[in-house]
Amino acid sequence: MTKSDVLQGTLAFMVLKRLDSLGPLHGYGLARRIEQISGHQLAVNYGTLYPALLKLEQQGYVTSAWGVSDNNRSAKFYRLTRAGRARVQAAAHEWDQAAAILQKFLRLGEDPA
Amino acid sequence: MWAARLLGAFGRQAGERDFARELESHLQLHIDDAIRSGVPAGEARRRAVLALGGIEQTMERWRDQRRVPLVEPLIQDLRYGVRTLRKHAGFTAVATLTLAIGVGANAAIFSIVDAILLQPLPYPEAERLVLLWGHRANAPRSQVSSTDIADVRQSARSFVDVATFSDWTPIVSGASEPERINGIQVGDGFFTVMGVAPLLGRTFTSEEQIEGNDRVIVLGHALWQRKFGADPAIVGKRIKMSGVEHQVVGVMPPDLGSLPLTLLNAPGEFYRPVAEAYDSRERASRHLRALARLKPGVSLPAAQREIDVLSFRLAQQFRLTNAGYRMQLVSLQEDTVGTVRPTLLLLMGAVIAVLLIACVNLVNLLLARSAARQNEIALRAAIGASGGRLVRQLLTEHLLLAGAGGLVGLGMASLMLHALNALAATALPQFATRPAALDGLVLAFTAVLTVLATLVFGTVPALNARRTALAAGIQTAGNRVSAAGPLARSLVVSEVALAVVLLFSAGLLVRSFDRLQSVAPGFTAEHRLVMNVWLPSATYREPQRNLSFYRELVERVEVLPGVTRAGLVSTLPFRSFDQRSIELAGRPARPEHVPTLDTYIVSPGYLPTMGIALAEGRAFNRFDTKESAPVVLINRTAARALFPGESPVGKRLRFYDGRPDSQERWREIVGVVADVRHYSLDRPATLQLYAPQAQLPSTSMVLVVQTSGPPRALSATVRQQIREIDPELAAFQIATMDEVIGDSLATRRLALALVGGFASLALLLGAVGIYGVISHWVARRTREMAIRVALGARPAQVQRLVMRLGLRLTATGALIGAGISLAFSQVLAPHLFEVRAADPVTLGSAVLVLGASAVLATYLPARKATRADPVTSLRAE
Repeated sequence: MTKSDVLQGTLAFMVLKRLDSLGPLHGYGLARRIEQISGHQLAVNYGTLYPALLKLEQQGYVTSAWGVSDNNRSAKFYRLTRAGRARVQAAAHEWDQAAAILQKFLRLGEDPA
Repeated sequence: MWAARLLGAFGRQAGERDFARELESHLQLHIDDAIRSGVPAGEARRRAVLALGGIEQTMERWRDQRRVPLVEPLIQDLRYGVRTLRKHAGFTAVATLTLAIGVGANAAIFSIVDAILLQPLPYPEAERLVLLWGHRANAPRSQVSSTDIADVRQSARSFVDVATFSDWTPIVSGASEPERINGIQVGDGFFTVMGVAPLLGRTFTSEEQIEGNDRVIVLGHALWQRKFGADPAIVGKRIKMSGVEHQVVGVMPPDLGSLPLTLLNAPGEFYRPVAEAYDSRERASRHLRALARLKPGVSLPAAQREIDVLSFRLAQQFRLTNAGYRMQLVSLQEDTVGTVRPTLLLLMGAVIAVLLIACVNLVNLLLARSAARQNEIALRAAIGASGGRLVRQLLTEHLLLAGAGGLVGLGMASLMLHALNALAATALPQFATRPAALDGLVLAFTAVLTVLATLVFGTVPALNARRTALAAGIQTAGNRVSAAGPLARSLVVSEVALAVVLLFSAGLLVRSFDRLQSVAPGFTAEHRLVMNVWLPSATYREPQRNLSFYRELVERVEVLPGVTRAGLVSTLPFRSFDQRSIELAGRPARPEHVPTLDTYIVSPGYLPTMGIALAEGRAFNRFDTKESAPVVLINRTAARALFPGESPVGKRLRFYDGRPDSQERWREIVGVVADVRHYSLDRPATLQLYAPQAQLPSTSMVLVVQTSGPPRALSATVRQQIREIDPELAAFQIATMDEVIGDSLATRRLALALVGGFASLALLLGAVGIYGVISHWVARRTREMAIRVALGARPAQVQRLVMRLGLRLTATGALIGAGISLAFSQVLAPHLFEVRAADPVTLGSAVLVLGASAVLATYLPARKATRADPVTSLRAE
């Protein structure tokens, strides 16, 4: 898995999670939010978000529609579908498991208990 | 979602415009934020574009993502499908084969049946063509005379035209090497009857039907191309046929195919006039056949009525030749196809049975697989795979399966069609040159049906589980449509029944064929080489010349190493025939009951060479010459029929020509010989007569050579002898007598092979079906078995339990199958020889064979059941 693959996978998850938690948002908003959450550690081009969003849309996890933003600009809003919701929950579970397993491996090096 | 992707393809332009708009909106929002934080407007835009990573680059990456998905999931599904199918290779193989059999066999059989039964004849409006056969009480399908036909032509109103025809096989010398070519002699009006106009030149005139003017020929299209290189200037050229120059007056188009092989010895490649004058004294010279075309609007029964009236009138007018004789009309289509139709229908029945069995197995297989996968599918649904995705994956997998089955089926169909074309060609020569192709419609129809069945039985039960599983948690038992449930079990019973019917049919055919093969033909067929040695009448006019040629030939051949003896005969059994009417001395001939005998003109060596025994009196010897008293031999059947209760030796007979002042010489019967089966092994011996060659010279004799070793090895040397006497001659139709008899059985043998093949297939499929159902039944009941064993049941008892189920299914199926077999046994009767249609031995054997396979198929899962460890099975729940 290349760095971009990891990024793609985590990016998609982060988008879904954000939409799940706080409802529909436009591309720019999602980009800013992800930047914030990751503590500015992921310095990515905002542009990489759009292919990811397109893919999510093709997979049926999100739908998009033109709407109006807070400051009265027209923008394309993305929101989660039912399948997307299910996917988020499953993915969250997967990540938890993966993290737990990794944790164990890391701890193995520490004390032999 | 799929629609969106599809629309993506169409609305590519619109999509791009939309995204451009979205990017612009993104930049605008970013700029707003930047301005609010105090960044100047121009700088804000620059920073926004930078943060985006460039507009064009983003567009490009976006386009990339768009291009991929159309193909990616499909490839994913395909890969997944292939992987799944490979993982369960056994299932895949069996299912593919089953599908292939269904699609392939079906398509092949129906293609050929369609070709033969529906469009058998390559002539325009062939359904209006009828044959005129001569008919007497003791000779129902016999030949006609040109005089009778000429009268029909003149008086009858029902026909467009009527024409006679007959074989002719001259030696053609021309541009290339001399060879014997099969042709057809045709009477006046033949081409009108056939309804085809010549491609080049013209057809024969009425004048050319007069002897002397008849040195003209019309070439068939194939011959024109093959031997004369499609020479456009061929009309007017001369060709030497049997030593006589004939002028080509026309060439026929490819539309006109040869008459079927039921009417000719070999497909005719060119035409010449019959050239027989209307001669009332030759009315009884019946060596031709006749074909007519019905006028539009005239039905066959109406034409037959008119012919009957005419026959009656002729019988009154010409009592000596026509009393008791009438003409029978048979549609050409019926005459040709009638011989092959029963076999075809039999094959169709067999293939439908196999198709049904294959379908049953397929359905059971799919049900079983679906049941096994319900857990897997339920799990995947639970963790979030969309319903659409699942359906798509299953469909792809099953489409792959159906595709594989279809491809293999296509291969099978081609192979089968090849064999079937060979079968058809035995009666209809056009199948040799223009074989039936796979009927696209039938293939598509069968393919669609089986694909639908695959998809339905494969995907629907599996997806059903998704709903129930989501609701009730993943279940371990109690599937709705089970592979061991009542549906599956009744299907298995039905396929067992069908298998029994097929086995029974095959068994009957095998016994019938065996009986037929062991019929003694009345002569010895092993180590006999035969070939036609015909002398062109132009160069062999005097009978003495013929005789001396043939005598010299036999002498030369008999001294060759490897030759025991040799003889000559005018008509070889199983190849051709020559029926002649006779009258007996001392018994006034009653024209209604003139006996007809198969006549053989033979050299003295013929009867010993063929191993035909003498029963009474003496055989021919070299003292029977032209000058000595005319003598004949008759066979036992003729002796019994003509001279019941007394010895025919010493009695006299002569050939009957219906003239009151007949010049025919009386011939003395000097001996009685054994019977010979002449026409086919299943037709009893006819009345037969032998006359010495010296007293009835003929120019078309067949040489029979008895060899000590393999007969074909001497073929070249014998032909050499012929050439040494006369280099202009060529022998043809060279074969061994074994082959000649074998050819007569060819159709039966092929049909037997096919039905036998189907029966074996049915047996295998039936056994597999039983095995499948029992296995699943056992698998479902693992828990129950485990409990029984835990409570103390012995393995043997468990095994017996399973066996009982299997045997119950088999017995039910066998009983039903036996019932069906007996009920429809009469359908097979026309194909059988000396075997009763409701033969209990064959039925019993069929049931036994099936029973044995079923026992084996049941035993294997039963054994597995006993080996199941109760502990693990219980824990697995």
